[in-house]
Amino acid sequence: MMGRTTALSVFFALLAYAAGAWLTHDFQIWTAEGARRLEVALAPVPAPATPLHGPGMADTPLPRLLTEGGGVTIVDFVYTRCQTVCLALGSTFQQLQATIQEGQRNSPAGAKSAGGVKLLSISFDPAHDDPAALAAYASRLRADPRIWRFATARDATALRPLLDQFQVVVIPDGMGGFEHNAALLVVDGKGRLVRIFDYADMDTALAWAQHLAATQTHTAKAEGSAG
Amino acid sequence: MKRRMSALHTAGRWLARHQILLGGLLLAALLVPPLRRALESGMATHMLLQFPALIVAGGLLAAGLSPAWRQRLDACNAHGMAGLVFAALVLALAMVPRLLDLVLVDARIEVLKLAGLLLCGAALRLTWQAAGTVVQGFFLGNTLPMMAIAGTLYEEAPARVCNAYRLDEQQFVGLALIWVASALAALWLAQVGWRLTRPYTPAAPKAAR
Repeated sequence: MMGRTTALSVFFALLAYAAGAWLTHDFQIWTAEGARRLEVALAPVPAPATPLHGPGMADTPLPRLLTEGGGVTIVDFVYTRCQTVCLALGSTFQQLQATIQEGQRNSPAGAKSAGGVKLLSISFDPAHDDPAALAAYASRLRADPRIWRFATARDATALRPLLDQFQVVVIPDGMGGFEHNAALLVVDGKGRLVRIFDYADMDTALAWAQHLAATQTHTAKAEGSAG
Repeated sequence: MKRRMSALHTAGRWLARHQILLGGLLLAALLVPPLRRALESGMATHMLLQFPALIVAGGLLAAGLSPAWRQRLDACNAHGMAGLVFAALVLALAMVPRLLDLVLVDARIEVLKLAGLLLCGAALRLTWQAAGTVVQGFFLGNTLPMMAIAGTLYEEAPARVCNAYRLDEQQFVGLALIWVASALAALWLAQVGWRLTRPYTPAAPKAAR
């Protein structure tokens, strides 16, 4: 009886260990957000062909928006009525824009060429954030349209596949606004989400994006000369 | 005396049948999609209401186990250890914040969660008496501090640990987990104390099942 009890207990322990290891990616992460970031780093997530529009931008499928002109895009999800996290995100993006502008001034050769880093803010509140609202938001943040663009989908239904694919979770905050897993999403020149950073790690995010952009240009050149 | 015993026996059997019915009704209510979604729409109702309700439903339904099956289970459950190991492991997994988010988007994980918590309730019901004070104490000594630590982490985390739930809810759940763990520990200790200080009375011969 004791032997069988021990065997069964050991079996349960192994089963739970396997379940726990699966649930936490070998005990590295404990939250869904941690899992999202790890999974993206391990296997890039292609952007879905969601048509987006914004100030001075007709409906464009997201992958084209991300790949045109080459380079790497740092994407964030916002809603313009946001008074909390998005303000921080807004100022983070303002600082990123300033750093990118400075980099372009210091190396005129690299200015607005491929290999740069671009910024894209996508609103998950298309009901309120039409292109006009986005334009007002952009001018409030003094966004430089050559670097930082704003977009949203026609409606919530059109936006759903994008939110699902990038695992952007938006919930009501109980005060008329939204709470969401705000972060900096780095998308490569092929339109694939490759890394997710906390907005507190904005310097790392930018350095990583710039490095990726440089490597991409390098690889593209190598491929070009080979072909 | 004999009559009273048989009356008790009948009452017990009626209650047992009633338990299965209650357990079945509770489980059915918990599984009805609108109610399930409503409970899972908040972190507090998800963890503090749905989880315990599933455990209770599992415990009630376990009453329906036939004596033959009961015997078979008892044969590999010396001192209720296997059952309590199972329950402790299910509860440990249920504390991982990723699980709360995952069950909302993955139906397979939701089914596993529901089944795990039901079986956890059944395991507790079927093993608690057999376990005795020492094994019970060992189980609670593992599970309750774990619950309190999880509660502390939930309460003190500066960021949300679940994408689907708000920070204020998380802090409430954390505090509640600490209180629940403390209350369960206090209840169990009080019950042990009461049993130890009670004047000794020889156990009545066990009635046939």
